[in-house]
Amino acid sequence: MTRFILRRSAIAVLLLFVVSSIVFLTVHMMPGDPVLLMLGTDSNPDPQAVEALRRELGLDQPILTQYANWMLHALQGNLGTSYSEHVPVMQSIGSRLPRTLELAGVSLLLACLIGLPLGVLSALRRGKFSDLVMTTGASLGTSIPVYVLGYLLIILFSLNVFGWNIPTLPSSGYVNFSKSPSAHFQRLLLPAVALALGLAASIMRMTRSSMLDALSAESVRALRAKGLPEHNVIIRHVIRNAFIPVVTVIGLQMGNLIGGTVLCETVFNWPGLATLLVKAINQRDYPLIQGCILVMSSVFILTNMVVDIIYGVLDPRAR
Amino acid sequence: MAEPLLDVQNLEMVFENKYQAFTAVDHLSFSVEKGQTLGIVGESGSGKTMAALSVMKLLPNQGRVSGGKILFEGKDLVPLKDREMQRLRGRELAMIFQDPMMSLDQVYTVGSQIVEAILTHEPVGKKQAEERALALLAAVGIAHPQRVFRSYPFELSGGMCQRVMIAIALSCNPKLLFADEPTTALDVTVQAQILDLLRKVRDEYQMGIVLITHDLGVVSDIADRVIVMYAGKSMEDASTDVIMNHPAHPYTMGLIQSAPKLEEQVERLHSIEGAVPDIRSMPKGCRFCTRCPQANDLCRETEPQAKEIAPGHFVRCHYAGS
Amino acid sequence: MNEVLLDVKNVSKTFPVKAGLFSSAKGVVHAVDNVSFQIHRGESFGLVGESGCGKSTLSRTLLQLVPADTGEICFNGKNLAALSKKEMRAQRESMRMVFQKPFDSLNPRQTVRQIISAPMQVHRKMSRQEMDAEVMKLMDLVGLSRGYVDRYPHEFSGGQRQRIGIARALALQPQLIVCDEPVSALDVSIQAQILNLLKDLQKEFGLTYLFISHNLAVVKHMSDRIAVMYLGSLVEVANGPELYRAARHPYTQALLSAIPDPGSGQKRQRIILTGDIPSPVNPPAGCRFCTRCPNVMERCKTERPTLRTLADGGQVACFLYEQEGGTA
Repeated sequence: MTRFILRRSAIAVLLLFVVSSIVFLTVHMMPGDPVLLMLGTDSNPDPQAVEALRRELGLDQPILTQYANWMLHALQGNLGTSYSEHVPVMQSIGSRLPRTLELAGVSLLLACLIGLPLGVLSALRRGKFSDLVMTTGASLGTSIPVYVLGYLLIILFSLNVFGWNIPTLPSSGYVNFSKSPSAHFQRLLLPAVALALGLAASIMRMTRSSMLDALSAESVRALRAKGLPEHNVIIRHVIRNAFIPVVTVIGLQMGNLIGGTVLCETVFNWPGLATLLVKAINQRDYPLIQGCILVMSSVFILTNMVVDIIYGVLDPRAR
Repeated sequence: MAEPLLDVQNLEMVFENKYQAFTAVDHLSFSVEKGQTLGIVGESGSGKTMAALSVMKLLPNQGRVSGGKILFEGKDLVPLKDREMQRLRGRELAMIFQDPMMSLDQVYTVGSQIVEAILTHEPVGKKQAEERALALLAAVGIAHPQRVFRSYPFELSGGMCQRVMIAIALSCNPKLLFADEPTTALDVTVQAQILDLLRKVRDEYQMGIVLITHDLGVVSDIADRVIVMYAGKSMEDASTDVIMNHPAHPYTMGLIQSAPKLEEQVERLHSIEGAVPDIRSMPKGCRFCTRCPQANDLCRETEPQAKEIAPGHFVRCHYAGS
Repeated sequence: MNEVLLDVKNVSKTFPVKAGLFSSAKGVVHAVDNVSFQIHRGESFGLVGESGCGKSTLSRTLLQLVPADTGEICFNGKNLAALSKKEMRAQRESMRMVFQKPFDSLNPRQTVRQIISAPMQVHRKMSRQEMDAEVMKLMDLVGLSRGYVDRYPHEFSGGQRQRIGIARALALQPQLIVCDEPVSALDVSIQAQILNLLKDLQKEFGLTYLFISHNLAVVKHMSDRIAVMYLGSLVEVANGPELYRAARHPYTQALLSAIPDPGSGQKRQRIILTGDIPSPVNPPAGCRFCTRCPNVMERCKTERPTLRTLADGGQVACFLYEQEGGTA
C-alpha cells in the first residue's frame, strides 16, 4: 500500500510539472498585451514607457528564460507579483483559495450525501415507481446548467417569488466565518446546492447502474447460497463492489466541479479563486493567471490522487 | 429404506412476466440419499440449473416454483419464507457454481469469505472461525492454507478458487451439496482433481451431492444415479451404469454416441440433427420428437409418460422397453 | 506422404508483462517456446493443451496475426515473415481461421450475406451476381438454408453461427484452415454436427486442418497426427491412435487418464496430477513439466529435454526415452 501511494505521488508531481509548463505557454500565447493594458489602452502610448515597463516586468527576455525564471521561483513557493494588484500572487490566492475549496468541498459532500444513497435506493427498487421518480429527477439534474440552476434558486429562495413561508436566504456575497457563522452558512447554502445538484445527479445515476451490475454478479448468488442474510449481501458485498467505479467517476467529475465554481462564484458573487481568475484574465495579469490555474490544477491533481488511493483501498486489484 | 435426504416431487418451475409464462422445469421428480451422488445431465436450456436453483430458492427474479413438493428431510421447502430458507442455505444445503472465479467476491480475501460463512451460521468467535477456515482449506487439498487464506480470489487459479468454494460449501457440514457444472471452466487435469475431491468429501461427510453437468463423462465418473433432462423434462432416469451401457431413450443414446470417444476411431460421429426447441414453442407431443430419428405421428401428437421398464429405470418414450 | 504445406521451425513468441505505464516490465510470458512441426497437405494436425499452454498464441503467430520473435514459418515453401504486405495478403486467402466463440467472431450488424462475402470483396474482384452465387453455394455446403442469407447473427443458434463462420473461412478456397476450439462453446449434440461437417468439407476439398482444442477426445477424432503442448512447448507428437494406445510423455499420460470416459466400462488407471499449471511468466527451469511430473528425476529440474524423433516416427521431449533409438 505504501508503495502504491508513493507511486501515485510521483505521478502527481510529474503531472503538475507538465501542467504548469502548458499553462505558462498558453498564457503567453494569449492575444492582448499586459503592458498596454497597464498603461491604459490609449491610442498612442509612449514607446519609451512601454519599453521600460516591459523590461521591469521581464517581458523583454526570451520566452524560455522567462519560463525558467518563473519555474525557479515557483519551486521556491514564489509565484511572482500581480501586475494589477501589486501584491504577491501567493497572497491573493491564499486569501481566495480557502473560500473556493470550502464551496467545492461542501458541494462535493452534499452531492455524495444525496447521490450515493439515492442511487443505492433506486437500484434496489428497480422498475418501481420510486425508481422512476428518482431516475427522472437525475436526468433533469444532469441537464440543468449550474448558472440556470443558480438563478432559479435565487428566484425561489432569495426573492421568494411565491411567497413561501420560509426564511429568505441572501442571494449573494460573503461573510467571514469568524464574524458571523450563521450569516456565513446562509450565504454558502445556495451556491453549494446549485453546484452540488448536477454532481449529485450524475453520482446517483452512476451508483444506480453500478449497483445493478453488482447485484447481478455471479458472486451475489454464491453469497446467498452460503446463507448470508440479504442485508449483509447488499451492504458488505454489493455496495462495496458498486462503489468502486463510482469513486472513479467522482474523481473525473472533479474537473467539472472546479469548472462549475467559476460559474457559481460569478452568479452568487462569491469572492473565491474563480472570480479572481476571471479578473486576472481580463487584465492579462500573467503571474496571477498562471498562479490561479496552477493552484486549481494542483487541487484537481491532488483530489484525483486521493481518489486513486481510495480506489486502491476499496479494490485490492488496483494496488 | 429410510426417507431420502431430498425428495423432489413433480417440481414445476416457470418464468413469467406480465404478458406470458414459460415452463422451464416440467414435472420433475428426483431424490437423493445420504452419501449418494445424483447426476442431472442436459444441454443448455434443459432446465437442469433451474431445477437446482428451485430447491435452493435462488431463482432469478422472474422465475417461480409453480407446483410440486421439495421435501428436504421430510419437510417441504416450497412454502418456506425467505428468512427460514436463508437459515437452511449454507448450513443444510450448499451450492457451488460453474465459474469459481466469479463466484467469489473479488474485493475480500479468501479467508474472510470462509469466516463470513461460518460466522453466519455458527455461534463461534472470530478466532475459532479463522482456525476452522484454515482447517477447511487444508481439508480441500490446498497446500499452503495460511497463504491462500490471506489471498484475494484474483490471485488464485480457477482450480484453487473451486477448492475455496468447496471449502465454503463445507464450512457448516451441509447435508446436501448442489454442484452446478463445477468443472466446466477448469482444465481436464484440474477437473480430475476436483472430482476426486468431491468424491472424498462426499464419503467423509456422508453428504448427498446433486451434480449438474452437460458432460456425460463427468457424470459417469462420479454419479450413482443419472437423470437425463431435455427441454425441461426428465427423459430418462436410471443408475449410472444402466444409463451409460443400456440407455433406452433415443435422446440418451444420441448424446452418448455423439461425444467422440478416445478408444474408438469412427469416421463420422452420430449426431442429433436440429436444435433444442425454443422454450416458447414446445412441440405438442414428445419434446424430443422434432429431433428423434424414430419419431412418428404418435410421438408428435401425444406426450409420452415416464414408464419403469426395469426396476429403477424410468424412460419417457412411447417405444422404450418394447 | 504428401508435400509439406506448413513448416514451423523453432518459433518462439514472448510477451512482456507490465504493471503500469511507469513501471518497468515485470517479466516475460513465454507463450510459445521454440516450437517446430510440419503439417502435410491434406492432413489434419491436432494441437491439444490446457488453458494458457500457448496454443492460441501459436495459431495467431502462424497466421501472422502477431509476429513471431524468432523462428521461421513457411507456407507452401515461402517464408511468411519475409513476404511483402501485398504478397502476405495473397497468402491470407489460402490460410483461414474458424474461431472458438461463434458469436463474438461475427459482426452483429452484418447479414450472413455480408459476412460470408466479406473476404471475397477484400481479395477478389467479383461481380455482384458472381458473389451472390458463391455465397449461396457456400450456404448449401455448410448446411444453412438459403432463405437465411439476409438475417443477422443474433437470429441463429450457436451451431448455426459456427456454420456461418465456417462458410466465411471457406469463401476463398483456402488450403489451410486453422480451427481454434471450434466446438468448445457448443452443446454435445451440436458439436457432433459441426465436427461431421468439418470432416465432410475436408474430404470434399482436400483441405488441410490445424485443429486446436483442449479436448483430447475431440482432437483425436479430428486429427491424423496430434501434438501435445504444455507451457509453450510441444512435449509429444504422435499419430492419433498411437497417442491413445501408448502415450509416451508423462503429461500426455496424465491428460489421457484425467478424461472421464463415458461408457468405457472398465476404469482406466488414474494419474491425478497435483498442483496447477505453473505461470508462463516464470516457467520452471529444466523440463517445464518437472513440478507436476510423477516420474521426475534430478536432471529434469535443471536440464531441458528436446523433442526427439523416435524409431517409429513419434516425437517426445522427455529424458525417459533417451535410451530409445532416434534422432534429436
